[in-house]
Amino acid sequence: MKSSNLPTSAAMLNAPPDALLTIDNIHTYIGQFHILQGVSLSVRRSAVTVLLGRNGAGKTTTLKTIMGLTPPRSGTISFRDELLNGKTTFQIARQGIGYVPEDRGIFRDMTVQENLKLAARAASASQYRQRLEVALDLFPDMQRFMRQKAGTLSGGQQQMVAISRALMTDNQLLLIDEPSKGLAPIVVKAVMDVLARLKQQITILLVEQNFTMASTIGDYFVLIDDGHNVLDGPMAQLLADQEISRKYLGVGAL
Amino acid sequence: MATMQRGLKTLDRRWWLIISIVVGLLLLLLYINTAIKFPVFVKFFINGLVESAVLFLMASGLSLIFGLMDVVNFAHGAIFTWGGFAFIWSFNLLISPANATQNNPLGWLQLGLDPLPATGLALLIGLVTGAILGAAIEVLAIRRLYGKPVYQILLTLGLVLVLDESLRLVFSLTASTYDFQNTPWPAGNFKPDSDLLINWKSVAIVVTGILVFVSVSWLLNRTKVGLVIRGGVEDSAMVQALGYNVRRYFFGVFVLGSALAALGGIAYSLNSFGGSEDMGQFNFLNALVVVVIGGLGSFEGAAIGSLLVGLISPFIGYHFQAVADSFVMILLVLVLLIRPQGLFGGKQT
Repeated sequence: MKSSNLPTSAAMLNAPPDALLTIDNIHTYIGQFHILQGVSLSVRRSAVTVLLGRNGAGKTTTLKTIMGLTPPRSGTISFRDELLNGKTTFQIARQGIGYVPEDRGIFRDMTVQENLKLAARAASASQYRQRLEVALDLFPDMQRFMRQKAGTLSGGQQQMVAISRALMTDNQLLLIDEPSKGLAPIVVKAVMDVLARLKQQITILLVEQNFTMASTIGDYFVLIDDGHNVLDGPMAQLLADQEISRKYLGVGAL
Repeated sequence: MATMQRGLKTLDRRWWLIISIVVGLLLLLLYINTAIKFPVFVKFFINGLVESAVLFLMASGLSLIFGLMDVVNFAHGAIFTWGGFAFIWSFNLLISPANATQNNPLGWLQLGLDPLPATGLALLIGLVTGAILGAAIEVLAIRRLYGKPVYQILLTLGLVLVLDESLRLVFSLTASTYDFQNTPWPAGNFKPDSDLLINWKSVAIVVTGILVFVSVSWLLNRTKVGLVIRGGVEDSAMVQALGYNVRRYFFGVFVLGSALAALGGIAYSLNSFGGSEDMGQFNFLNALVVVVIGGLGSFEGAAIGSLLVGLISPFIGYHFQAVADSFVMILLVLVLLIRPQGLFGGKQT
């Protein structure tokens, strides 16, 4: 939090010119635990960057730190060349970052429609309708349960609502945390298909444990281990090097 | 997952059926058992409604504040008392001597308003007092202690002492000398039946309770602000992640809740022809029980809980004098044993 000077470090200078979001050497504590111990990464425009790593490596905390839910103690985060440090969660969201948390963060006592209306913030009626159409185009099934309480939906349906909710404002970046968690394989496939369609219009930073899915949909990867990022690059590079996947992800032959 | 959720929903409805049948039977039993005349029954019922309304005004704010901010505001009862005293005090100040009884210490001011406008203005002053107190408490104290429940409890308990003692300072002149028994309104009454006397103030209090319920329900269920508040009750971090400044809504709800508590105090002191310094304390205790019974953070739960406690207590008081004071606690224990999350679910924390 303390650092508010302009990004100058090597990682920043080396950030690709098409980077939408750049994180430089962030350290995040939760209580007394030093969770992120220097994570640096950049997310390129109109691509899917997948955050990989074992359980407890710090993937979810990285997303939460970007959203300002667990603000970093040091290091810088810049989005569209603007520093996010010191901004609160709602200000960060208003910069154009949509967040789909691990547990989906659905408002269970509200109907699906109310969930989406809340997410649309101050959108005019016509804007709202337009964005709703986009969401319904991605998830036609949602039409069936628009008036149902979100808490009564299945996990897959809730995931649809959670992703749609992030599309109700003109977000440029989506942070999606383990969309496949707890879903049946066929539903995972459907969600991933939608994300693949989405990436043409919007930039995505995805946390995904399902390596097969992650490698199919991802364009770039960032590998985190014990709160550090160990490696990053194009997804093809990771797929080519099975040694790395074995070492850090515990994934055998692909 | 889906079926489990549906299961819970049907359980909810079944529960409601059981509860309403039990309450209905209980009331019927009490009625048959009374050997009292029907008008007396009606009188009890109206008294119960008045008590429900007072409880509801206090409990609804308490519940919303807890649900949204995870703050149990122990000073809520003190705001209730302050609202009531501000109302009494300004009524005495405003009323014309012709309508005031002799012992009105402020009658010499001779502002000379008729009882009705005096009541209206005093009501406004009481509400504003509650709102200002709430705003001050939120800005100066609560805001700095989010996420630190122990400090909040200590601080709000301390505020109770400060507010209760300073009450004596500010309103020392008229501590409990509140007398509008000679005024045609609000002390007047009407007789729908030769055996039945109904006070206008009872009607006014019940109508106020209903109006508040309807308008806050509308706010919560039909407006964007309501969506943000309901969302905040469920998951305030997520509401922030959707781009809302939840702190501003916290403030608004705290002020609104405090104004409602003050309204409760006004209704209470209107009903009992004056206030007492401890009226906030015992009503707060009951309101806290109502909130837990109804489900923490649930507005509808606060309404139903208030009705339950308010309607039953006059009957209990009449028939089972011995348990009249402990009955609310017995009800609390029963609800916690059978349905620990409260009748309307509420937070899972």
